[in-house]
Amino acid sequence: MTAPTPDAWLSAAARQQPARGGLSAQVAVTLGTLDLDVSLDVAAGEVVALLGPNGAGKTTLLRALAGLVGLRSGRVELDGRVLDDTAHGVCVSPELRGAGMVFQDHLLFPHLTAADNVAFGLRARGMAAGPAREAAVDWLARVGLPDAARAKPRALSGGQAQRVALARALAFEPSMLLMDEPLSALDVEARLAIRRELRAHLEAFGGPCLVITHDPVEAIALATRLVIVEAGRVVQDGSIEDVTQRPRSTWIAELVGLNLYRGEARGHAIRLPSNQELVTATLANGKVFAAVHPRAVALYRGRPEGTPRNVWAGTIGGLDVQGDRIRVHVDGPLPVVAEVTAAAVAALDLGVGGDVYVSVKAAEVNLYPA
Amino acid sequence: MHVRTGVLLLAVLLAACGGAQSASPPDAASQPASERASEALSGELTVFAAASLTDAFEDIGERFTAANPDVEVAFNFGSSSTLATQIVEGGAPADVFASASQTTMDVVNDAELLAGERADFTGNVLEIAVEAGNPLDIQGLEDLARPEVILVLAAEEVAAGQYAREALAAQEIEVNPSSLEVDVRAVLSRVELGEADAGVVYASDVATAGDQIEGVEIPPDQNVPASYPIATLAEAPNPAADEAFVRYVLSDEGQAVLDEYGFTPP
Amino acid sequence: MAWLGVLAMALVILPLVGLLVSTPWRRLGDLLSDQTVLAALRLSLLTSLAALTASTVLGVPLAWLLARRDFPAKTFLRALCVLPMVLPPVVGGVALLLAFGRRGLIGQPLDQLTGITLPFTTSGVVLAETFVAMPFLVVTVEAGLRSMDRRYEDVAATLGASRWLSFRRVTLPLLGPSLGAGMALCWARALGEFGATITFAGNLSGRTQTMPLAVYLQLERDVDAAILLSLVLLAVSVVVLVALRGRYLDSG
Repeated sequence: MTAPTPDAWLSAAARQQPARGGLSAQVAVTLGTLDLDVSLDVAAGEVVALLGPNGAGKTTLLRALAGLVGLRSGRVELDGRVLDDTAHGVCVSPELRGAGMVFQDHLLFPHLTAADNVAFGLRARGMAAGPAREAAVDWLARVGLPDAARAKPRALSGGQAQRVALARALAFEPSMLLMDEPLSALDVEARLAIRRELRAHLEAFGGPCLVITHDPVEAIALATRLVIVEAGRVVQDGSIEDVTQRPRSTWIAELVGLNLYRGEARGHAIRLPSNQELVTATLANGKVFAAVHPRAVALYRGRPEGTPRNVWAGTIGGLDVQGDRIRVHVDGPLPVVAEVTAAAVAALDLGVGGDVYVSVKAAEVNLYPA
Repeated sequence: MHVRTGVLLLAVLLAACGGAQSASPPDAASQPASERASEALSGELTVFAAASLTDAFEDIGERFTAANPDVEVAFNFGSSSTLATQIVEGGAPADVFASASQTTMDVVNDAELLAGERADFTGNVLEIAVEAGNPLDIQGLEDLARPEVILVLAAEEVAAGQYAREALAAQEIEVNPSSLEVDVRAVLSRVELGEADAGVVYASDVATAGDQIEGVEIPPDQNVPASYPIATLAEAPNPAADEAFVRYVLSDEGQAVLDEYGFTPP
Repeated sequence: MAWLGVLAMALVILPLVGLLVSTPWRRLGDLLSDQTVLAALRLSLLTSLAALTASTVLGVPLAWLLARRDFPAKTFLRALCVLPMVLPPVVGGVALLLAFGRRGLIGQPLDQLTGITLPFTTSGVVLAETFVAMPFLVVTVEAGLRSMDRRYEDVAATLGASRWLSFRRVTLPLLGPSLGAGMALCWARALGEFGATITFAGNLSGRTQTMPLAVYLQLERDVDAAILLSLVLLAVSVVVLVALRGRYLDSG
């Protein structure tokens, strides 16, 4: 099999596809212990990344949109067509929805060649064998596998198989694309290469696109919007900047590496549940989130004096080395993660279990309404 | 007593080795008849008997054990030819063989497995079995050739089947049986279940059949009578009991029982 | 552990060796040209293959129902479907008579309305063989369906395949090994069936006398011939099983 060719073919291969309508979904599903209830709109041509802890219901959401799981209640409309409407007893079967799906473990039909796999959707829609095969071979070339037509899936590497799976999902010109962790099973090199290609294909794809991923970098690389699902509910739905800088749950904060607190703001102070107070530079009233970037957290051996700032004591719970920076986990009445240089750690002689003072400038406390 | 036990053990050992060829003379034969008659009978004996003798022999067996409480009688009923094969080829542990045809007894005799003389103990004649009420009004053998009559016979390999064919051939009647069953009881059950309209079986079978069966007699000049021989087998571990059983069958009591079950005198 | 395996093999092979050793090979030519023998052989092949076809056409959908659908009393119904496997064949034959015999639950109205009777006919033989052999196919295929990754069918659905197309082009090929094994077992069982066939369909050369029946009757008349016929039946079984194995049991 040939290696993927450079950028020249990427832009040529990812031909612009006709514009399609968007997705409007209100989905409520009960599956085992999961109670999913989300509302989601994805415009045509928009790529939304779905993130969330395990068991949050992301896969179930995708399966519900594909028609593989029944709705308890809700309504799904795609490109002007009503796919689900429990109030009126409408439920379109999966084969009529036009949703292209790509899975983590490619799920290529093992008994069919790569070309037959890609042609499957076309043949299922009544295309004759000859034209379907031509289209399949064409698509294989587009994903960088011009010679793979006759190969069986087990002869392909993980990356190659996933490319074929992508071609298979796109070949029949679906109305929307649903991807469940398409890159997770690939090794690092393949992942980076295919991510670039995937981005090109997604940009060229005219319909709405949902990608489940657990990697925030991947989410940022592929999508323009992030939707976070936790315990069956949408916790945050916003642009990348919005989510990464103003996370609305602890899980997201941990994912993007921010310290997050919730409290009641009054003037320049926020009262936290632990009855401590944070001083902020912005005026605010009411329930708020307060985000503090780890780099804005200064560490001292002794209690610092000086400009208005938040200072509190704690003990070092752990040290994570990340290149030349170290993330210091400080436990105590107000846990916080600080990111400092290795030199600073050495200079302060910081060790696990040691006492330390934490200082955060008021201006570094980022406030936003809860 | 010890000698007899020794012979018993020896016979069991020989039977276990599957040796059906050599015939060792039973020890008890050397004893004078008067002494034998006065000994209390005990032990087990196995009787291989033709299927048609099932009900009659079970009855006889009960009476025999009532008279000789220490004896256990076990029966193995089947088609005479199958039983003969089992005795000759398989070395089956039979003590007494009561067959429905002379030819099957000949088979055992030719293999030199008989202990002594054989005796004809009863006879049987053929009869047509039909459903109670005789809905198709079958009067005789000629009616069996009618196309609307579903007829079953026993297979040619079976005594009853042979006799039935002989009887039909003698009258130059051509029939079209739907099935040739493996034994005569199967023929009867076909008629009982209503699967067949008529079957050629023994008179004894008709006599013991339930209310669903009616018999149509075949006149003696058209009939092929069967002659049933009985004999004890060589190498039997309990020859006194075996012979006593055979004598019982041949006695007035035994014959009366056989008559009750539809058999004819030998 | 290995010794037990060898013992098991010996248990299976020794009777076959016994058969081969006692065979009077000289008579093979005479026997194979005997009309009755040829009729029995032809009938056995015909009915067993017909039973296999019926079992596949009916059994695969049944296996699908049992593996993929939930319905009331499913456990009980599944037990019923598998019952012929554990039933003594003669009992099966009697049950068939009570259902499809001339006076049977279904047989009687069938006869009265259409004049069709099943006992004493070749169709009756096929029915009896299907009755005893189909459960083998159902059980194997059901197991295969259960162990299959169902997401393949999900993928096929999203790609636009109807249920039938998905079944034909995805499920069946993936089921290949199980289906092949099930068909082999089913066919072998049908070929060897004796008790149910003789009880239900009877015995008539050319119409209902299958090879096992012919062997049984020959045993009473001509033991050597019976041995030879057994061997012929064995040879035919081995040939077909090997052929089937090559096609289906090696996964594609």
